[in-house]
Amino acid sequence: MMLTPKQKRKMIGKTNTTLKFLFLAIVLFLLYFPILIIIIQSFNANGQGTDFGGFTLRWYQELFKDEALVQAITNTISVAVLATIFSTVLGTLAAIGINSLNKKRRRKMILLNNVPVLNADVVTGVSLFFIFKFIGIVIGNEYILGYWTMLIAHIFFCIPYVVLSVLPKLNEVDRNLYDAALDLGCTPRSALTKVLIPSISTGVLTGMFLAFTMSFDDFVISYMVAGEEVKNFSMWIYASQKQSGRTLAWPKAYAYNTIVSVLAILILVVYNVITARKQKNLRKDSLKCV
Amino acid sequence: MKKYSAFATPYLIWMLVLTVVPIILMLALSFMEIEGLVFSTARFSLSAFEKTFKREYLIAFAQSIKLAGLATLFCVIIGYPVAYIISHLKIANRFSFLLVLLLPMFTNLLLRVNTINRLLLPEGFMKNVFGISLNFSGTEAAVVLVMVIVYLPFMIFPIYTVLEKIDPSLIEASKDLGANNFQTFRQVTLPLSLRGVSSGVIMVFLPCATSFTIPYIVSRGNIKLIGNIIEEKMGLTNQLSDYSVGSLISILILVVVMGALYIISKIDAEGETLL
Repeated sequence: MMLTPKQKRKMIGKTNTTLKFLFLAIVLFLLYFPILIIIIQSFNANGQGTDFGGFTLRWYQELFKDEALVQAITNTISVAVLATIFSTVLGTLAAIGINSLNKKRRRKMILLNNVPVLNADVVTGVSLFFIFKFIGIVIGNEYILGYWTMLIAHIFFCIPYVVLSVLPKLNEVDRNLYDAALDLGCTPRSALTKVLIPSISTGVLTGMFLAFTMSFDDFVISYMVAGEEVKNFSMWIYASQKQSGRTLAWPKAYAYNTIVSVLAILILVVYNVITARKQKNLRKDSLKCV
Repeated sequence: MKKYSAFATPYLIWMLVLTVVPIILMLALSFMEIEGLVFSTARFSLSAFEKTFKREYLIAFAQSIKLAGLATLFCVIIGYPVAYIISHLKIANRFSFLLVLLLPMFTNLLLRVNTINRLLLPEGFMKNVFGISLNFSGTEAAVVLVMVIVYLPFMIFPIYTVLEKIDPSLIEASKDLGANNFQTFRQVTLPLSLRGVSSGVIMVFLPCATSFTIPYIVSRGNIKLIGNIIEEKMGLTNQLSDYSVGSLISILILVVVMGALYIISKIDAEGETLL
């Protein structure tokens, strides 16, 4: 059968899209297969996880009976929430400050800001370990490492992400808008809260989201600065792995992780729907103006 | 908006105390013989250098570079096409797809590493449920595979960010001037996206090379990378702890990180590709 060049191009186009989607599918499989297994294992009656022994909700009940695990989960959540609040506020203010510097100093501050972002977690952890220990020696408290040092460390590595998400939005803010606010009688402070901060709100939200994600999943830095008594969820897993030394199955941890994944999916889907609807409405409104 | 520049000062002080002061401390410790952190009995010594540059640790350095290098290479090979395909999707799909890449990060890293490694065992869940028996759990290949799965999104995001910013009129211009798709890609898209690739390479290579959880969980201590050595030296209770050696190795890693920071500040002064 002879094909016209047009048909040929169409066919090539089609196989191309199929190939593309096949490729994406393989990548997604690579990323999601382990997570799918974790979800299956959380309902697996076979506690060793070597075979599927039937459906059970046992691990979800046992999860809340394990005091050490519950404590670790509580620590993870409370540190993440506190670190998110502090780093969002402080990071936004820092970004506003950096944005108002002259170009040279601004570049230098961004460079300093990027150190914890790029630095290896181990090195950040070691650095913080030393500075906390050193402060401990100075104030005469040998056992300074614990919950509070972990919280400060989390605030420390979360702020740079907030700064990085807020800065580009500050760049986009129309200077005239701000000057107009001042001309119309705003004090610099009310101009900040009424004009500047609302116009960078999407950047602040992104930063907040990133900060929470980073803090919630952190292991290495927490491990270095939380001392021996305080544990978050990741440290709980690492400790039990070290104790047993085997490739263990932790059905209770799988159960907790499944709850977290489901919540994350729900939140992201809802957020996605809301922003999509907002954009649709915006488009409608702008059409009305025409 | 000059009035707000005062907000930068507290942040500067905070960053100096928590990043620059520790670097000075670690530099000092590298040249000391010290028991724990008792500075009163510490004395100048180059013994940390002697202890660091011995065969066992040099092998760990080489291993880190090899395994992280392989993982980074695979991430570029897989990540670039993914970023390219996403940047050509319809805008609504694009956003959802990026979210899909973000979601795995809400699964605990250590749990994921352990789960992947268990799937590679010859006996167990894979064989009993799916009838597939793989046998490379605990090997170097397993370490690389885990690194690729965990860090792939960190390669895709920065490449996607720069691809999305390429002005479409440049592509049109290239085609109008007679270049075919491949030529356009090679001479326009690829050079413009190298910034993102460099960011991605840094964002994947550094954490892979310094990771201590991945090699530890996968090989149960058989494969040692630099991160594992630091962990051992920084141990709060174990016999092997030696803060001078831990500091010196951290400083060596920091030198590499500074190089990376320099590259980033050249190609991306505003830090756009770091998110």
